[in-house]
Amino acid sequence: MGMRLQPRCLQLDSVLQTVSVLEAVIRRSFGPDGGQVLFTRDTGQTLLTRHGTRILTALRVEHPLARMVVECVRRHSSVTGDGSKTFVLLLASLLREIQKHTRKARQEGAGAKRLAEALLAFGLDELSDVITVAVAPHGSSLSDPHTPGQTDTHTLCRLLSAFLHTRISPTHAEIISQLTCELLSHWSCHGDFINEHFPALHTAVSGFPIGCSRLLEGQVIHADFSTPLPLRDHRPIRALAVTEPLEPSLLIDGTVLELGGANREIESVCVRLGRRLDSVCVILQHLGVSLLLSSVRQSEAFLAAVGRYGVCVLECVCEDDLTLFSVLKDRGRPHSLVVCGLTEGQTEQSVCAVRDALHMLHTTWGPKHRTRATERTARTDVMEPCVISVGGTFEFLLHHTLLQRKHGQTHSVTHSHTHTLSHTDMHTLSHTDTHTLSHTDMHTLSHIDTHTPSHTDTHTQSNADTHTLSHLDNPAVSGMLAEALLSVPRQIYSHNPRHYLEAHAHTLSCMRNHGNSTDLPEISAVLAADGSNMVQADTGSGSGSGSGVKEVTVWSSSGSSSGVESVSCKYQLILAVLQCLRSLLSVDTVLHANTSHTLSHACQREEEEGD
Amino acid sequence: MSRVTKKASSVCTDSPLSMSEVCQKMTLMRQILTSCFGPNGRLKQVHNNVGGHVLTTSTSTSLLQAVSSSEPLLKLITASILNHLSRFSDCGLYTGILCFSLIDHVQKSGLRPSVAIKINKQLLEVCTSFLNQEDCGCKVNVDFNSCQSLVTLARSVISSKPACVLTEGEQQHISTLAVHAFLLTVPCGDTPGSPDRVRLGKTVTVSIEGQFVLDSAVFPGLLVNVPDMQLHPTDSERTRRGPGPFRLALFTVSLSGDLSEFGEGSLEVHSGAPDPEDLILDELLKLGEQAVTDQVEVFMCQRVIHPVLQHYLRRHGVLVVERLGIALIEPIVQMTGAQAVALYQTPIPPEAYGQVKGCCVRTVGSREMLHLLPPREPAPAVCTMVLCHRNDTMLNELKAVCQRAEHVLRLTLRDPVALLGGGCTETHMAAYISNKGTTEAAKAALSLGVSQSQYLLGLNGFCSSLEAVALALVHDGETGLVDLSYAHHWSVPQGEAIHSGTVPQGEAIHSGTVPQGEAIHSGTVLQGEAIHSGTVLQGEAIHSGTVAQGEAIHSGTVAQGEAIHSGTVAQGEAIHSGTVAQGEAIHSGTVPQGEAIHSGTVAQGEAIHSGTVPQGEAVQRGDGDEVPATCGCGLVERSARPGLEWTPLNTRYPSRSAPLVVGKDTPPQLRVLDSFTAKLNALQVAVEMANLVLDIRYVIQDVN
Repeated sequence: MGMRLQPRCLQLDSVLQTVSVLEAVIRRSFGPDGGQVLFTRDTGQTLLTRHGTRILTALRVEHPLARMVVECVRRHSSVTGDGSKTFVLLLASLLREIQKHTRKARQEGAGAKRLAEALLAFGLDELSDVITVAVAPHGSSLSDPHTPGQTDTHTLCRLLSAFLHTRISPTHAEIISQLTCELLSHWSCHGDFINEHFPALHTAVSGFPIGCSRLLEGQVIHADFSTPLPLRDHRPIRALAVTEPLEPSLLIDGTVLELGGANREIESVCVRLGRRLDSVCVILQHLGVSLLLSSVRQSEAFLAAVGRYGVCVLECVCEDDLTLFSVLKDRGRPHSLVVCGLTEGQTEQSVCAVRDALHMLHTTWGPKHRTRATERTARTDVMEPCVISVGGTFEFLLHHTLLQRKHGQTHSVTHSHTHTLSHTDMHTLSHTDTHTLSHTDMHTLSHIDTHTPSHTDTHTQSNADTHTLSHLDNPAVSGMLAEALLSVPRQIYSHNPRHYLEAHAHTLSCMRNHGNSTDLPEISAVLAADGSNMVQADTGSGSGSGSGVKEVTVWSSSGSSSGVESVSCKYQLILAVLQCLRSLLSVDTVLHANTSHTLSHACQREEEEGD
Repeated sequence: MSRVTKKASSVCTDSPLSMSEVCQKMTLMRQILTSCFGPNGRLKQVHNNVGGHVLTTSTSTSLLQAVSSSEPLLKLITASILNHLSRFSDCGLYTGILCFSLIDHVQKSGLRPSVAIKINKQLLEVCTSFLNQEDCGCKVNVDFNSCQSLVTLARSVISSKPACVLTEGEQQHISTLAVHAFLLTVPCGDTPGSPDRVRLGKTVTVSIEGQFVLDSAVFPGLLVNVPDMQLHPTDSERTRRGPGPFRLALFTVSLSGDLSEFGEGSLEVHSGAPDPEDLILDELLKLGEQAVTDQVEVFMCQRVIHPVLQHYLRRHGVLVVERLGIALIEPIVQMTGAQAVALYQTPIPPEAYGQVKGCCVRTVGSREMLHLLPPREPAPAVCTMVLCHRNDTMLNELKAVCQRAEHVLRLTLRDPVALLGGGCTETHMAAYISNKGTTEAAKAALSLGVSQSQYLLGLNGFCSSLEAVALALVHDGETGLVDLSYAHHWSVPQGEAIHSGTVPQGEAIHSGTVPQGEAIHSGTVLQGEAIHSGTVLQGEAIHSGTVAQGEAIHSGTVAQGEAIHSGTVAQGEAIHSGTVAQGEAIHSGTVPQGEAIHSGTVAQGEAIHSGTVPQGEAVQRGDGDEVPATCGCGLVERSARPGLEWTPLNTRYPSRSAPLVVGKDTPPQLRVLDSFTAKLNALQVAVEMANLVLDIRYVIQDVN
């Protein structure tokens, strides 16, 4: 069969173009001013979302490279539950940086690939330490400062609220995050438990405003009564869960009933059937069962019979409910979440958001809750479950540290600030005093780090050569990453560039103050959406209080206290982006095979090649 | 092998609300809903492209189910309205009109969606807390000691569905029946077994075509459809026999004697062994014997009864009814206290028997039906409603309407309050919010993080949307008015208003020379005019112009730039309505208005030349005979309250005082009442849905 190949060389420009298209879509729902995306399924179902992965998959893109990106985003978000929109923004801006750099260096193709590899090597080897040293101290711990080992509820709520603000409409995020917090507090320290049993722990109800959502004490079983009976008194109810029909059909398919002879007449069979039902009922009565949860449909005769004995029956109870029910018997008072919404699309969006929020918490809690197997790929074991204020604080801090590092490595402290075009005037930080400190720190750290064995399986074969590369290109690499990071806060404050500058300056001044003060104040770059009631975060520079973490409560425009985000999620996000970047740039040609059979294989092959 | 098909890429739409195609569809939907609204609403005929049934309706449920849009935004709105209806059965059109109107106003105001959303949400909270206040001016308590308010409530639901084609007398009759049926289904005293909860009964509806509406009736107990041949002479005799109570047995299992009940396997019968079917019949006859000895007098089965068994039972004077259908089983169980028997192999347990007080044959229309009377006097809450109407279409509508009325009445059991109907709740609430929002604008704007001018723009849009709902009740060219004291809704029939107008236009212009407020006042007069002359577009433009203008005045110099920016053309028109005052505004604003003034000239000229006095002005004097005797809901009577002043709906006053609450010491006959629970939810659904739609930036449609 004649397969016609159409080789098409992939230039960096076309890769960037593809990613930019995705970025343009994602932008609509990114940040505090981002809106909803309405999408219809092929079934005709109308759904709402602000979830990056969902938006990207709903696009059903055809371009193989775009599909590869979507797949990377999907994989990342299925691990952490967070950061799918930032993923695309960061990827696009890294590609732009690489483009800028290669143009400058007059190298094409190979240069881009080399840079991507260097970036990944840097991310895998050194980023973790940079974050631990430079960013983590500015955040606060998720653990309660007074009782170690316990989660700080207030911080937890801020973390949840910030996450949900990125996923559902801001007017609804408030109530949903409050309920999720309550849910978590009722199940104290069983975050994983909720995560695991979430399908059974929530109920979606459409037709009511979202404000009617609430927390119900007890478990909600998602099935209707087949035989409803009023409860006669207030004694505790005994329930029995069954997974099989209690009255088996007389003749199952394929069996033969022989009639004739003594005791073989249909009469006696029927009588036996009746007796058997009665005996089941007697057993139920003996056990004191007044509620029967059945995962299968029971026969009508059975329902009528138990009905006479005062037993309520719920049929077709779903598996999740029964599992939770059987696990619950030795736990305290359960609570379940009732999510209301106008349409199914809205309730589903809220439910998804809460589910991912739980997932994200799981990632944030990190090492304590993590199994050993996953530690290898993302080295979060070095990081405490640490959170940092939203609004670009993380990006600003990391940006700055990376720049310092760049200067440190090239030993050019007086280097002109070409990379900070937009904020040269705000650059009040004096490099000389912080430089000495950070430089020495970093140097020793990176030194140790470079000798550790490889951390990822995908990276193994290329470790040796990228290792040397990373040393060569390190200043350039950290500079590129630093610049790319700024695209995130830029997008956050896109509707008001002035706020971007203010936030940046604010973070920098906090950072400088931090160098002088002994305690560790929490830095916040949060600004009100419109700035009309902008509240400057208290940096604690002058009035250093005694407590380890100073609570900075900024009231944003929506009336909520400022949110925080997880540092380890951010770290994993950057790693995932770098990995995706490398795979993107290692593809040089897309072959369009013109036969329907090989189409899917060809795509797969490309993706494999990419990975 | 499964077929491998390539998935097509999705179709994407960026910022759908800015697409003219989407806007057109939304406007069309809005027009459809608006024209259906209220007792004078217009009917819609829906028929699909392959022919078949033609649906004539104006109710939101039928309409929205029948009309499906391919536009995802409309799908979303439709789905949310239907979801609301499935919970509350009322206020579907209300939700739709309010929602579309809110979206429209936000788009016109030029506010950023995220800002508008915040403002709408805050105003919704003000509304809900206002409606939940004890002394809320548009709430009345439902008095269960008399059925008057219940009947009014039912009639409001029924009269707002013109597709039922009922005369006033018929409406009253059906409303009374609906309340009667509702009262019958509320049990007297406690439900046995659970003193703290009440289980409501059931109304079974029997519809009969071709009879007069006034023949409709409500019976306590159940009417069971029995084919003629089943009513044997013996049965008729039985039904005439003396007073009960009679014992009743009810089966859900088929008593036909078929072997198919046994499952999928096969039977093997040895030669010489008795025929299994005979054995089963013996079994059935044994059952019959037990029934006769236990003195069962009514024997009913959901499915088929073997003819031999039927014959046997009849011979012993038992009334036999088969093929009841599943729908009737639960009401029978509830009424008679019987337990449905699902097994015939074992003897009937004695506690499974139920009781009926008696049975008789009733001729309903062309049908003969068996009437089962409830056994005890505090009837266990089951009744039958027989609805008659001339043809099928009207009958279906009537049936649906009665079910809604029942639901609405039931909602009053939880919240024994109702809202004033006839648009009065909306106008009153709009006046309240407008006043409260204006006085507390600075505080509210600060807490929302928006500027004060933005807040006032949003506030005006919200109030106009509420008034737009009241205005949607007006279909026959009437003018919607609102009085300035109580802010109730009045509608003036067409034609009369124009006749009474005697004050020359000059005066309106004169009034424009004095303070700012007056200038706006004259702007509102012009608007009344514009609406009257039928130029809807112009009316709208002027109206939004006044909004913008009012806004500019309120917020002072800072806001001026913004106001001009938000509606340039509209601004121009507002300028013309009050020449002198507006000149001031122009001076304070730095943006040149040349273009606006140009575009406004034609409109202005028309208004002045038409020379007719805006009836708004005339009406305001309070001496017009054309204003009806009472407001929309009937609470405010013109004769009882002299000195009332009116203004056309959807006009803005610079400062409107908070609406007065009508004292309820001597409540006059209320004409229209709406369900409180349904409307409260509808309000929330409408605002949330509008917010949601405004928040949508991108649409992705899967075309596979």
